[in-house]
Amino acid sequence: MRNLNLLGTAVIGLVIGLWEVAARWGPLADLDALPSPGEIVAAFGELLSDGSLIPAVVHTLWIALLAAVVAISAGTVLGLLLGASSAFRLVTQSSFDVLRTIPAVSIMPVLLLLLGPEPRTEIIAGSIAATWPMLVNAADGVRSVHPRLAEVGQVFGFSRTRVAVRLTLPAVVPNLLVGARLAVVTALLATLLAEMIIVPTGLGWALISAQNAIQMAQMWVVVVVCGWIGWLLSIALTQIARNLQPGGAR
Amino acid sequence: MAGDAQTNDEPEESASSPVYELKEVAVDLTGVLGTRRILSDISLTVHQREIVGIVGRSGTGKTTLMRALGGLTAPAAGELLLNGEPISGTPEGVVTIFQDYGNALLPWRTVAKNVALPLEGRMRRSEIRERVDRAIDSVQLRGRENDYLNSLSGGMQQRVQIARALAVNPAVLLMDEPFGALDALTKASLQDVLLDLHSHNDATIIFITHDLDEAIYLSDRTFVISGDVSAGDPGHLSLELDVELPRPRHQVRTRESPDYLFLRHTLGDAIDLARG
Repeated sequence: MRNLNLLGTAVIGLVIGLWEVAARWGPLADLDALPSPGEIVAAFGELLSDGSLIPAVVHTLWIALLAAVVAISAGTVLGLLLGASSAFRLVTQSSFDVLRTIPAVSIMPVLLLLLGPEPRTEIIAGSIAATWPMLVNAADGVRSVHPRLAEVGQVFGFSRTRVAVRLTLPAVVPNLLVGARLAVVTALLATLLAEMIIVPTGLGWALISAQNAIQMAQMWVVVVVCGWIGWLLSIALTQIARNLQPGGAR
Repeated sequence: MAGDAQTNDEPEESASSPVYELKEVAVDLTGVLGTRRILSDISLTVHQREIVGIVGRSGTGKTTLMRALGGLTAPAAGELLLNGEPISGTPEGVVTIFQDYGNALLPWRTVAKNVALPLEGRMRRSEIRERVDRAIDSVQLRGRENDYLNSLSGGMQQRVQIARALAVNPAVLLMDEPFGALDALTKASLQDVLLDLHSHNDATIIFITHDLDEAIYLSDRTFVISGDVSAGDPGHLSLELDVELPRPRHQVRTRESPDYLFLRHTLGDAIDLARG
């Protein structure tokens, strides 16, 4: 909050105010798909009081978190191996390159038929999508560590393990953090999609059902809530990344 | 003439045992273009506490020679002895200080933690702290020990690398163009830091430079390395020069003495400075 941008905040307020005016009396009055901010706030109150919003948020966050944890763990291990071992790279790189290009959404119907409409299926779908950015960043990180660092270890008589633990791994931390941030965002995105395609729950399904019921204000509530989640997540991740990188970003 | 004209207030150390003995050493490196001879027929002896400078143009194999001395590259032919034993791997007590301090230091650690790196897990914490303190004092970085490297100037960062080397009490310091990336004034002050350290320390120092003045100012002996590796002419030693200038040396007065100027002239001719 130290760097609260007053002018930027004022612009947002102004846009919302203009939107309200335009939606009530102006050119947007006849556009049903775009309700006024006032109507959206009212719908927000309804969704809160009928008890449907909070469980949806909890479900989405919970699935996205589990998917992100699986993806970060798997992506880190595979990525570090890929970066460090030329043998592993030789055997697996082409497979990873092909698999990586398959859009995560396209395998969701397949996973639904294979594993059924379970939260487990959502987690698997989300983690598959989120593993790639983690893996790619971890592998690139290892390969971009300057060879001088290992020579420093050699000069001081370090074993290979000691070089890996004391020098290489800490040097890769910035890349791991970038990968983790992307993985979390990707996991959230894939979870919303999975909720639309695999299990009708959470914010993803809330969006679809509001659309089907032509509840425009409710639909916008979900959009705004998704935006908040993304925003808060980005602030939290930036803060965590800052604390895990003493000495500044590299 | 350079050696005769002055009084030499340091005793001759020819009696001390050699630290390094190189006999017709050759080094090959294998790159994308195949294996190439980088150095050939390198013979030299370095005694304990000596400061030896190796000066040469780019592409004469200076860095390769340093890597061979540090055990980072194995010789292809000849004999490379350290304290009478052939070198295998990076020998204990020999520390290389790299020119690119930015790559050789750990930006996620503070100054003190960088200096402590080689000591960790090898001695008690109290002893580590003591050694780190002493090393930081000797490079005049007291007060900066808890700072991260990104708040330090280039000269300070190179001092951190020197302190990290000193922390292990090395018998030999190998310095690969240690001050090459620094501005002239920072360079001069670090040269004096190094000479001051050496005056109460038993370490042998071998350093590489492309700066003739630095070679003469610091060293007891200077070698010129010539050749053109990329043109198929491996690096070889073309001149050995005794630098019998009195110590302690002085950035202004030493550099204007006739002996200094004579040595510089000889070195400049040997390296064909006028060629540009």
